Amino acid sequence: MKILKKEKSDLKLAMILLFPSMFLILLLVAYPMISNIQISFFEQPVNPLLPATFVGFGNYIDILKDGEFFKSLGLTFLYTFLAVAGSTAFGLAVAIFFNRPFRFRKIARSLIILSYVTPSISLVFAWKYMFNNGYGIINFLGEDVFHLFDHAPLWFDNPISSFILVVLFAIWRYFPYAFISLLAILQTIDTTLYEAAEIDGASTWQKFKIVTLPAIMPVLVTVITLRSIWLFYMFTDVYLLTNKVDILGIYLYETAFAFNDLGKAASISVILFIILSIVIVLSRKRVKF
Amino acid sequence: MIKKGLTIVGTLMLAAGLTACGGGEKQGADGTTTIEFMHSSVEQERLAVINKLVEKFEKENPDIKIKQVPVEEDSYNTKIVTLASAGKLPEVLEVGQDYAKVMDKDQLIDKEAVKESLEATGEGNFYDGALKLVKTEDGKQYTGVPISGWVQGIWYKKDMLAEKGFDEPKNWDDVMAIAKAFTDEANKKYGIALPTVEGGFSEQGFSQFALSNNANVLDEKGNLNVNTPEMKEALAYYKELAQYTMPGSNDTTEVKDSFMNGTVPMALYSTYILPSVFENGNTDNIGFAIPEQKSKAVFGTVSALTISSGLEDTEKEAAQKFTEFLAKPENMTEWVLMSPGGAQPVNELVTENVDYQANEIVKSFGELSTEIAASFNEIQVFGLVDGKNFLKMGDITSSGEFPKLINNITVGGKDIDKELQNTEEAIKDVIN
Repeated sequence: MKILKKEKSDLKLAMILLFPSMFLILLLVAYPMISNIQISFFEQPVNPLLPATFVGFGNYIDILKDGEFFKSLGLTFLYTFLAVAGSTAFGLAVAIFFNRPFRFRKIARSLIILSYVTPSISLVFAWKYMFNNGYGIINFLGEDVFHLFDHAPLWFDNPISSFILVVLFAIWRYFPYAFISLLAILQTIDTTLYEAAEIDGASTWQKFKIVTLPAIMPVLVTVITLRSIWLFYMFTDVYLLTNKVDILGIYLYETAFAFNDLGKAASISVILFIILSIVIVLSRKRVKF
Repeated sequence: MIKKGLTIVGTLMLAAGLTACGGGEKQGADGTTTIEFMHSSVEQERLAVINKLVEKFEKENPDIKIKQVPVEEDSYNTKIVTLASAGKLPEVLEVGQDYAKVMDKDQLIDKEAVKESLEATGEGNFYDGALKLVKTEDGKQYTGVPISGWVQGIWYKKDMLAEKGFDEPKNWDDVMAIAKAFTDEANKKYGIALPTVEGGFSEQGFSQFALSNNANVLDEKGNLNVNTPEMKEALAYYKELAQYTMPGSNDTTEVKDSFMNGTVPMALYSTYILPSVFENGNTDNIGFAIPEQKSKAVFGTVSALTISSGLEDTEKEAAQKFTEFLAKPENMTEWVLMSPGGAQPVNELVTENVDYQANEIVKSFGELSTEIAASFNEIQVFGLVDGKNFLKMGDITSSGEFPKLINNITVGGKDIDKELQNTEEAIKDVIN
């Protein structure tokens, strides 16, 4: 009897202590989400004083009938997959390389994270200048110095080369995040494990597969999941670099702000949320971390 | 005890939440009215000018406080949409004529208040060209009080043209002949810097050629009339002319850079090229030509002050007072001189103002400054037919279909007939 009563009062205290954070979460996350879902069923005018028209699933049906949406979706999956795979693999490779003592290691490490900490807008301008058709250094080197091509390619005007460049940009910009996270966990691996593997005659690949990979797996999965979510919703980098790669973030922005169709834009974000949740739940189940 | 604590915490949180959500008090306890003023002058020097104007206004009107909302140009329209849908649109806003149409469509503008303010400042002193850009569809009201503007045309370097025996280009054929003569791809020299980017700049640039061939997007009844022989002719001309421009998508940066560094002798650009020309010296060497075929067409835009709808009487009165204050000739002159050369006067009292005429940049261009000011009356824009400024043009411009068309035929090398048909279909979807 006594124990039961104690448990009850603990619960009350826990509720009181949790209340402020629960309240904030409800206010900042749940309320906008519910409001967004509500807007998605309406044809919403920009002026709040004008009445919104209830359209039921009209917005959802419009989107699911739009070929451009599926094109964007496919492109976004491809972009996310390539950029996450590339930036994680490259980050891991550099982290392994850095996981040993050498001179100027600290300076080199700080230089590596430069692309991650610099604001997007300055990096985008640097890339645009590098690939500029008239005075870009890439075309200057390719055409005038090394004579790799007769006519300078229009890098950001061709959909395929634009896509390759935005993926390369994402890999280059975001690999330091994987690098920092993975280097931290690499440094925790006991070197005696490698020595033991060496005595057993393990090759470099075997050492990586048997010792390194299992040890870094929890961090690796987190890095991949987070980066996938962030890149799936990418807008700024791609929008600023080119208008030839219509990923979902751009499709959503144009619907909301170029066409001022707030209801449709809200329903796109609900669909994206559902897709992304399914992908994450499935991937977490398969990897079991 | 615990229950009481919980209630107190809950009440406090709710209060905090509601305060965060609320718009704040507009009318203070001491009887002062606070109104917000949204503008795009975020740079330090420009802000200093506006701060000074606001200070002067507050001194003259001690019962009104102005809270500034400076927003960068790139995110300006997005901000209007988000503020408007949250019901927090500032009382007075600086807005371009195109976006004013979008706002007008959503009934976000108090046109009565705007008209009263415009009349109070002296409607007759504004250039007709500027006023017609902010006129509403019925031609009776205005979406804003013009405060400054800019015009766009073909800038050329007199010495370069003279070297090859050319004079000022007078019509389409002259422009093409000069562009052709100067193009030397092997040495990366081109005839004209032309916008080809998939962005608003291309629509603005191309509209001058289309309108000078009497091709508009809408007819006099406001129906879509884009797929016409005149429009096709203009597109064919623009596509041919684009052979003599720098390869790829050219935006403002590329066009301005190539004109300033001597890659091209001609560039289609706004008056915002003048400050750079002044910095380089030799202001006598530059000329301004207007594309001309069947008629003359200058592209231009005005920045106007508009008053948002749904205001309480005191706010509306304060907003009108502030708008009328900024539209006084001496204050408008200060506004225009925030970017001398680039921003142009839209009111003849500013052009005649002593401070304006004494400005060293304005003075250095001599006759050219007068020529540019006069060109304001030759402004033609898409969607403005027989003095009727059709509202739906705002949506057409916003949709970005024209820039896509220009980019596809010039940079993408695609077929004009097919692309124009696609554009027509896409615009139909937008306006229906």
